[in-house]
Amino acid sequence: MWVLALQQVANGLVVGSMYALMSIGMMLILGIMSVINMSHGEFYMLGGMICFTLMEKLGMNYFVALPVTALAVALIGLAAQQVTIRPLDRRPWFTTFLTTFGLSMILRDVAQIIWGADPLELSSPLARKKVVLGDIFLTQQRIFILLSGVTIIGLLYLFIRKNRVGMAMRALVRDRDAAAMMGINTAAINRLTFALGAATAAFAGALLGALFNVYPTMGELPLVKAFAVVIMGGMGNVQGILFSGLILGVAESLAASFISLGYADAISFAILIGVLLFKPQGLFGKKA
Amino acid sequence: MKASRAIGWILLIGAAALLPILFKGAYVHHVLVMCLIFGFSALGLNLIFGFAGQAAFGLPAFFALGGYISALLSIRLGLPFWVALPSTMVIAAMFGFLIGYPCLHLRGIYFGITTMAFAQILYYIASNWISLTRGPMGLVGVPVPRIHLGSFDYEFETGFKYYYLVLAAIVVTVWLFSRLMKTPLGRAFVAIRENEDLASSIGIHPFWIKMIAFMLACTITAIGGSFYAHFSRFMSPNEFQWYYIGLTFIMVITGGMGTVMGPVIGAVIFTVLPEVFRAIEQYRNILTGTLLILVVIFFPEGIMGLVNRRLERKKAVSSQPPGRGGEVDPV
Amino acid sequence: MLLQTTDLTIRFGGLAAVKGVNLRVHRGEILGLIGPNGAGKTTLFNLLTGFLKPSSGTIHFEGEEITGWAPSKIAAVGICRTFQLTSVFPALSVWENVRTATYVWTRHRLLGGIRGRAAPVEDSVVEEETNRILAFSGLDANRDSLARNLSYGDQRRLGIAIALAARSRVLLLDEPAAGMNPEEKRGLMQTINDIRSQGVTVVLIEHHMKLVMGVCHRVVVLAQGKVIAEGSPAEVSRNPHVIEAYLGQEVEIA
Repeated sequence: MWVLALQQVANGLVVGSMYALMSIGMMLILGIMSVINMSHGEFYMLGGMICFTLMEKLGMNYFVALPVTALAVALIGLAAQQVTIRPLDRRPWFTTFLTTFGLSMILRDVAQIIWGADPLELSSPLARKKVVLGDIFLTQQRIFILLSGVTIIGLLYLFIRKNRVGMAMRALVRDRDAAAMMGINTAAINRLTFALGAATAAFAGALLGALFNVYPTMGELPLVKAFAVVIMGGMGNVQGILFSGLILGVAESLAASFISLGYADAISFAILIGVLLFKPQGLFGKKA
Repeated sequence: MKASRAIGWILLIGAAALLPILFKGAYVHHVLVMCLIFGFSALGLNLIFGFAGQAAFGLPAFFALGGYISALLSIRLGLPFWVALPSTMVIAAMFGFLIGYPCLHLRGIYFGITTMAFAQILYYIASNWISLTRGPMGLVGVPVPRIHLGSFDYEFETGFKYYYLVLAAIVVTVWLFSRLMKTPLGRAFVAIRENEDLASSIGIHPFWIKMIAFMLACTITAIGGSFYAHFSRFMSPNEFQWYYIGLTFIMVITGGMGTVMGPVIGAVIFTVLPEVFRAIEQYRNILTGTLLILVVIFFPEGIMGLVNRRLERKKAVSSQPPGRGGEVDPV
Repeated sequence: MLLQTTDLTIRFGGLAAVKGVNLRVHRGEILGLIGPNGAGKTTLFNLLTGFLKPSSGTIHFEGEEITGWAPSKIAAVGICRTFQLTSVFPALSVWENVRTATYVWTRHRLLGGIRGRAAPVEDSVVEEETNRILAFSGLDANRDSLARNLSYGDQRRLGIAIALAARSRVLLLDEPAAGMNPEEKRGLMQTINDIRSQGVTVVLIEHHMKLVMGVCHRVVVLAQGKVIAEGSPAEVSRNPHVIEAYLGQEVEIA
């Protein structure tokens, strides 16, 4: 019983770190651009798919394919932002919700035309190597996911805190107009934010894809989980997002083995609703 | 003015009534019925989103919820359609209250996302409560509406007959809707959309007025769902797909947010279009998604918005006595 | 005493934005509320109209305690306000703006309209009242324009018309003259006097001293959340505390 629980906690941390990674991208886009990116799940999916193609068709090594994938999806994100978000500057917030919703429908079907509807196996060289830690097993891939997730989040944190561009981003979160008046190029920050957000999602897709296979609709659930994590974590709070992602991953993993597999995915919604109702500023957010 | 509006109404209803006679065939009739059924979804969303200004992204799930409630009432309890439909409306309003109560304390983006989270939970319940809903297998054998009085026995089993049943229902709904929008309550919806703080400072209680709008929207959407269940005779969790969220929003925006007839027109267009695209099923979502993007960017006023602006201009030119510009004009 | 606050205080975090304010508004007067920026004037309005709940203290209207009531309930007893930024319904016509504001005294027949011509008399009453207020506010010529297309000054006047249509008995005006040209300001002074002569009590926040001195019967000065002076316009303008408060402000700006 305890061993099983411990094993599930370990698995949950692995998946949770990816929820956190994806959610940081979503939070940046929401906080800086005031856009709910409904196509975030599709960037996650494209991460898995493009990584698959790079490896299978071009024979690229997994560890080379990962950054190339992230770059490719960042570029796709950049193009998408120009078409679906930039024309709607100063229009009500739901307009970009709808255009990115439309984009997600498009990307999903385009992926289906290119790669087909069936799950494809993204084979990481680390997938079959087991590591024993006391009573629990983890594959090297899982450990790699957890470590790279935490590392990338750490780097993003430093970027936002210490780098000049990162500080400009934070200024935008606080007050767009003031930031623009201070001479910050808000359009450039928007582009960078969206590309960065897309890349985080793609990374998560390419990493987790090696555990769960890749297919065109794989982004649907991660999207809503990213929602849940962003709301749990509270806006503009990288540590909060990291902890929320890990908590959600563990909660789901435990629920799947101790309650029911069917309802495990519902946990994120229950948390989402609970947090919005009782602590709208997020579990880790400061009071407004 | 009044008379011309009445004539417009009669012409519109007459034209709608002629459609299934002019265009024959079971398939065509099926599509016509679906146009009207989606009309209810669009009307419901337009009430809460177009009039009251609350982007309830989860609302289209009430279509599936209404379908399930109505199907379950008639299959499990053996209620006839004529009882199941009004019961569905009442139950949907109650669900609306339960979901609206927590959600409506939130504003804007957070309200929208939370309704969507509830929609997703409804989907999980429909998929996983196998003993009640049969899960992904869906509910089969939902009975068709039937009038049985002594020796008189009439079944709405064809698309042709069903069309007139739904047409009657939607005409009544649209009529009540347009009357409602001329009451202080209807104006309060719009006031909240336009400026919530100002609305409360003239005595409008935003929470309860939004609650009424949301419950009405849920009810109207659920009527569509009920008609759908008894028409297709089948309900499955597929009807909760997020695709329908996008589709319903396109209908409302294209038709014209905040106009009475606009969303119905939008529903007709976007029920027929996917059928036209059916030959290229593979590209269906690509086309819908592209249209959604184009409509939001280039066509935010919608069809009725453009028509109304034309009328306004005409009115201004002919310098009629000052009236109520930009008001809810049903036709 | 029409409207009265006792030791009204609100804190944000540790900071008291309004502290221990005892405000008295007499029936039928025009009361000016002045003070340097950040003195807590708008916060006080927000407290009076229920948009903020006080940390401590009470508010009474006609002897009834209204502390902590919802804004809509406070509006319903007759305390209405305008807002500094947008005090109109932007996408509605001027006529619709004013008619919408009749909600509070027409809502009892919520379902009346559905029955068709069940209440024709009421409808005509609403229209008459709307027309009267439009004429009174000098917005007659613009009745079909959308509120968002009005000039800044006209939007302010529409904001006042909306509050009047809601049958306010105390009207709280938040910087009604902001952005108005001198001629519009003179018109506004006339309007405020006319409103008072209809029996509506007026409280206004205003920075234009000429307007305050010209129209107000009494002035209350707020600085750093506290009342520092109170009296006739002439008395207040001679008060050394007031001069000091404003001087501090000017130093800050420079």
